[in-house]
Amino acid sequence: MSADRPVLEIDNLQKYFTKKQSFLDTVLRRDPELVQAVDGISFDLDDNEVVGVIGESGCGKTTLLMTLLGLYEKSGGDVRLHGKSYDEFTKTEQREFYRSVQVIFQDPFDSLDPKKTVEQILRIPLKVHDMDDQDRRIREALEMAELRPPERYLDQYPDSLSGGEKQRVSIARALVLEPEVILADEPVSMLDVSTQASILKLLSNLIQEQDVSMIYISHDLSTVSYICDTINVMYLGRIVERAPTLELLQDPKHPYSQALINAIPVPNPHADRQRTQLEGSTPDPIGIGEGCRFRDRCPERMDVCEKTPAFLEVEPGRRTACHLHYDHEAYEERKEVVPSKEH
Amino acid sequence: MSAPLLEVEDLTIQYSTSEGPVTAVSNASFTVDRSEYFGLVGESGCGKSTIAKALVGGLDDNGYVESGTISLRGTEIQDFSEREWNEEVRWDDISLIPQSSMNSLDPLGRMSDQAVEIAQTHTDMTREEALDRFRELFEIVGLQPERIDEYPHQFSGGMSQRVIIALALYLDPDLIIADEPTTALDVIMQDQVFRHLDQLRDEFDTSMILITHDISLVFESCDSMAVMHAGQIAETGSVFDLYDEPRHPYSILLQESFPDVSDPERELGTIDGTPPQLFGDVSECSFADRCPWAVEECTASEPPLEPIDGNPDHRGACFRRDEVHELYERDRTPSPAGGDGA
Ligand SMILES: Nc1ncnc2c1ncn2[C@@H]1O[C@H](COP(=O)(O)OP(=O)(O)OP(=O)(O)O)[C@@H](O)[C@H]1O
Ligand SMILES: Nc1ncnc2c1ncn2[C@@H]1O[C@H](COP(=O)(O)OP(=O)(O)O)[C@@H](O)[C@H]1O
Ligand code: SF4
Ligand code: SF4
Ligand SMILES: [Mg+2]
Ligand SMILES: [Mg+2]
Repeated sequence: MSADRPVLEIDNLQKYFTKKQSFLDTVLRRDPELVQAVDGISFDLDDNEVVGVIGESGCGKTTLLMTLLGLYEKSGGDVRLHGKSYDEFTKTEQREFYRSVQVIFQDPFDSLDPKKTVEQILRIPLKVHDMDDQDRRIREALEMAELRPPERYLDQYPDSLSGGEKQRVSIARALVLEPEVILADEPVSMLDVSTQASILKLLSNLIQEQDVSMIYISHDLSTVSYICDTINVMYLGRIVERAPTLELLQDPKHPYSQALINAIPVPNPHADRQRTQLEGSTPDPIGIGEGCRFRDRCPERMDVCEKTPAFLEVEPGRRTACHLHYDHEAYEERKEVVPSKEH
Repeated sequence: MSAPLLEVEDLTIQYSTSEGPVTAVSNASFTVDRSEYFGLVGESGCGKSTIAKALVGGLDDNGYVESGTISLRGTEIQDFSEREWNEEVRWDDISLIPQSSMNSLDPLGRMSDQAVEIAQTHTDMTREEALDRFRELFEIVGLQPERIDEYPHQFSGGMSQRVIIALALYLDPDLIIADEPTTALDVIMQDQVFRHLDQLRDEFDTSMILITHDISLVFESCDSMAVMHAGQIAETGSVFDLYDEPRHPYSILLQESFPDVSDPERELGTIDGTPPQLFGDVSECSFADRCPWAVEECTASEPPLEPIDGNPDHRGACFRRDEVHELYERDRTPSPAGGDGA
């Protein structure tokens, strides 16, 4: 495998759910409605890189994560680990995938089994993957998660740990298999601020020191600069903007990214932030056809927004899907040569 | 000078438990004036909701006011009977929006029925008057008045939260207590809700106690505030006092650990340890275990809430409040166990 190939490639990934039909729908033989929870998401994850996926609840973040992991059967697209498609995995490769890709969940309060000690919690994945040297690995994982000394924690039950310590145990459990990729779904959103920062620091140190990459999923833009290199802003199942974190925060291009960033309260009574002008809330991704998905709420909406905007480069390293940001004639002319996969 | 709208003095609230009396709030004092927005911030478990419930006589069954007073326009109310709370305080004077109230709307009842019920318990409005008033409030919080007859599940989270605010405003209370009113909402919806809360103060002179763990909401939306740590009020004053000149170690460190999207490159602070659970009489600073500048005195008695720099509105409960600023400047990256020769 070539060294500059991304660790993980997500290529036009789709996950559609079919909405349960009512009796009337069946009688009238209506086609089942599609929930387009994840609708053509593509990005790469490089070595030691942290890529963020940010969006409001219901935009499809958790569905993306579950589909990535193969826990939901994808409706289309591809996921490749070291260039090899998920669909072509042998049994052994599939096992290897589940070792090298680990998840940290949002809620440390119910992702740990209250009846098991910390040691037992960490030993389960090691047993499942038949790893040697289990005691050493458990200790090292606790050390890495800054639960020191490990002896102090081995025999404790989750209930006797603080929220921050529980999340460190979840992190240790993810690390114990020495993964290459960590998927983190809102790992700090349940924690108090005084603890949040230390968990963010821990995660970003791990990325730098260990050989891991991370996909960081969150609804909260105020903490992403402490961990993510790149941000993907997601709205109704699609990525609407991608940019290096600081560039996104300081100069968002897509009207939705702008609204999202401008709505974050600023911890300074002298600041004079304007309240959001947006009305309404995110609709469900059901039966949506052509057009920009943000157009019903967008203050900049134009006629052309009835057509789906392409996800194009607006500046080196930055892309957005919005008609405000490209020259339509030039785009139509070279459309044939634009590759279908846009990174 | 007339009495403030609400004055809480040396309030101590306990819960009886099998392990003895848990002291959820210890000697808390603060005041809220007419048309003032007052923010109460602190980490999970520090006693915010306990105070909120006590202010409407709605503590859990095992909870009680151990000592101290709650005065509404000069009248002590902490010992009111259930009947007095109902007749004289709840809904028309003080109205509480409880934490996770979004799930507390009766899912089987139309919103309009829930409003009529409140009106008929507390006023002599007719059904028609009650419905007109409810429609009016729907407009105020940005909902379509024709939707008052719908059921809660027909509303999104942000809309339900506005219905709750409409219900809280229903009998035109002088004080609204909003316990984490937007915590379950996405930021854009949160900002929409606050757009309406801003209007209330401007148009109706209503006062509010905003309870939240999010200090930025308080800085943006309130006039004055208190920071709580494990049952104690650490510091109280105007939002400018606490931002420009915080003098309690916890309010300083809490602000340092708070991310600011408009300043994404700033280093975030952390506070080691976790808040303690207090039992019985409290005779220490509840921040002592986590405080980088703790000295022996801090665990010998509870620090009183006292004026800072002679300003009676800006008060801190720290034995070292006059030197904290220098200590902080001296060791910019403090760590507990700190180099302070404690
Ligand atoms: N019914 C009860 N019985 C015993 N202890 C209680 C009871 N209710 C609350 N407590 C305790 O009182 C303290 C304060 O709780 P409270 O709910 O007021 O905190 P809070 O600041 O509102 O927290 P959060 O931010 O999580 O809502 C906590 O230690 C809590 O465990
Ligand atoms: N199992 C499912 N069946 C049908 N719809 C679903 C299912 N899971 C999620 N959805 C829908 O897909 C969309 C995205 O949901 P989700 O991935 O949970 O969002 P997020 O994690 O960003 O909050 C939502 O509209 C949600 O209602
Ligand atoms: S494509 Fe049109 S509707 Fe969509 S975000 Fe851009 S301007 Fe707004
Ligand atoms: S210096 Fe003492 S009194 Fe002040 S906050 Fe620290 S421990 Fe509490
Ligand atoms: Mg989710
Ligand atoms: Mg609470």
